[in-house]
Amino acid sequence: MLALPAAPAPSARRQLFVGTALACGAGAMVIGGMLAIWLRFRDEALKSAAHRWLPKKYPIPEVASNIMLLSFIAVAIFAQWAVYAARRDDKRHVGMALGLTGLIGLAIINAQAAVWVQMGLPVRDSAGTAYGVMFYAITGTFAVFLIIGVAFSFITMFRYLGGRTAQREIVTAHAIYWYFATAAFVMLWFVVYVTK
Amino acid sequence: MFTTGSKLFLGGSVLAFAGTLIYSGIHGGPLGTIGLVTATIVFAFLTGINFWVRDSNVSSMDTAGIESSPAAHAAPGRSMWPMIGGLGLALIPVGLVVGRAITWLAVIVMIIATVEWMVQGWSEGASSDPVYNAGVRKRILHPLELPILGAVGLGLIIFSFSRIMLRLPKAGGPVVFGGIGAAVLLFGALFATKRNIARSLVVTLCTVGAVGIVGAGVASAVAGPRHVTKHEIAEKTLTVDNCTADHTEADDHSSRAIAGKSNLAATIVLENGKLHADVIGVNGAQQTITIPRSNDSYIRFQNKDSGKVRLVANLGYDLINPGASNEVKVPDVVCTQAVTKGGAQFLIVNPPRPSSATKFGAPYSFTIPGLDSAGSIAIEVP
Repeated sequence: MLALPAAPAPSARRQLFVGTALACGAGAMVIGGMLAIWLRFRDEALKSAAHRWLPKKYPIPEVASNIMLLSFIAVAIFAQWAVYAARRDDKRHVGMALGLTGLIGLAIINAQAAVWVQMGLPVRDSAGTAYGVMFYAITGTFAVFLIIGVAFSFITMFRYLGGRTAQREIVTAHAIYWYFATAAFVMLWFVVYVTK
Repeated sequence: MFTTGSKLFLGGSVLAFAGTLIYSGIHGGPLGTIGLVTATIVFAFLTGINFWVRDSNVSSMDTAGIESSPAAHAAPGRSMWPMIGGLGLALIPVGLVVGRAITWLAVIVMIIATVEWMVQGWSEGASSDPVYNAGVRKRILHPLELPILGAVGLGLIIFSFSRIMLRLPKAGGPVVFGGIGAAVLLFGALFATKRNIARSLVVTLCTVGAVGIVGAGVASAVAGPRHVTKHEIAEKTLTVDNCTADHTEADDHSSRAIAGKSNLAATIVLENGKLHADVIGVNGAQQTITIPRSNDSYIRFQNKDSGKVRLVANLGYDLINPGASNEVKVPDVVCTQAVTKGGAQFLIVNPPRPSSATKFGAPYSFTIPGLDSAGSIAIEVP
């Protein structure tokens, strides 16, 4: 009796995209968890005898923090522009969009540094609250995410401009990462810079 | 419609959402609520991604995809470099707290891990032959790895030996290192006579020896060097005065030997109970020598008489809190160690002020404590 051999097992695809999505999920859990701890400490500080969470001497520079938020709109648009151009094999526009994404990412890192410098907030608060520790923990963690995003943008750009134009998956994964960073910053901005 | 993975993530989303509602209703509080809300959002996000990519499966109708998709290719080999890179990253905050040396070590570890990982990643895609790929990696990295690893290994052994030597007691050092040398000689002779010895045995013995030496070195470094008693020197300070006629421990095992190229300003000799100075370029015995201010002048003291004596240079006084009620007058004195007949000692003199500025009727001079009859040599400092 003759029989055809079994078909090969279907193999997985889009590892980079799915891997990036999983990493974004993990990053969102990190930021969400940290914001939850922030709100708990804030709640406890406001219930304490001092009734104070944000130190009076260190006002938050809202111009810089709001510009960071607005910059993320541009980042999301540029990242999606790269995906749009990659689908149309428009190499020049892909490179331009990825370069602009990385550049705006650098500008956001610069704005974050400006916030740190302008506040001049000590890590250890003399009043005994955890504000300084939590502020630097959350904004510092997010700054690491930003640095990873900028590196992701430039690596994607170099790979694409270097000739690997068939690998569009990395461009989509790059866009997903920046969407995650945007969503994470919106949460961070509202909790840390708005409700304080 | 829903793939298996999407159903799992959807179930996770529903459970997280239900957990959020139950937790916020029963317990409340921002910590758990926001944590569960975040988990719900993340699960929902992953559900959407998984639904969109259809569990990342290649359709069985897509024959090209079956062959060309990344998962159809051989998995890359295992690599220790990500782990080492992670270790380096974790060491950076440790170094920021403990010390700069650890931070630099972490940076070096991260650079090494990055380079090794990149070259390994590149070599794995060089061809479809894993053996050839491994050869490519070796060809690129071995010229770097072998000298650096050799230097690091050698440095570790040298450092370990130095710590062990500093830790061992003075008498024990020769015994221990003689024993180690004898063991090396013995094992080397055994290996040389028995030609078909297993390579694994040699490697094991060498590894045990290296680990033992490095381990002993680390333990010795942690324990610290053996206590070495500080050798007393002949000096005069506010609390100590060894520049007297008495002999102390500082006068035994004298360390101020004189080299032939000592650039001597003068040789001061005690002969027939009298002091005189021999100055290079000046004929005859002198009773006055001239030395520069604020510079080291090297004086040789030679005792040709019997007895053990020292030479003292009296360079006036230092005033602490001058003019105040608590003014203190500290003699500015340096001296040699006591020297017996035929011996010589070395003395460095550095007068801080000219001899014309001396006060309290104490001109600069060289004298022998306890031997006033020897006289003195006057010191002129322009």
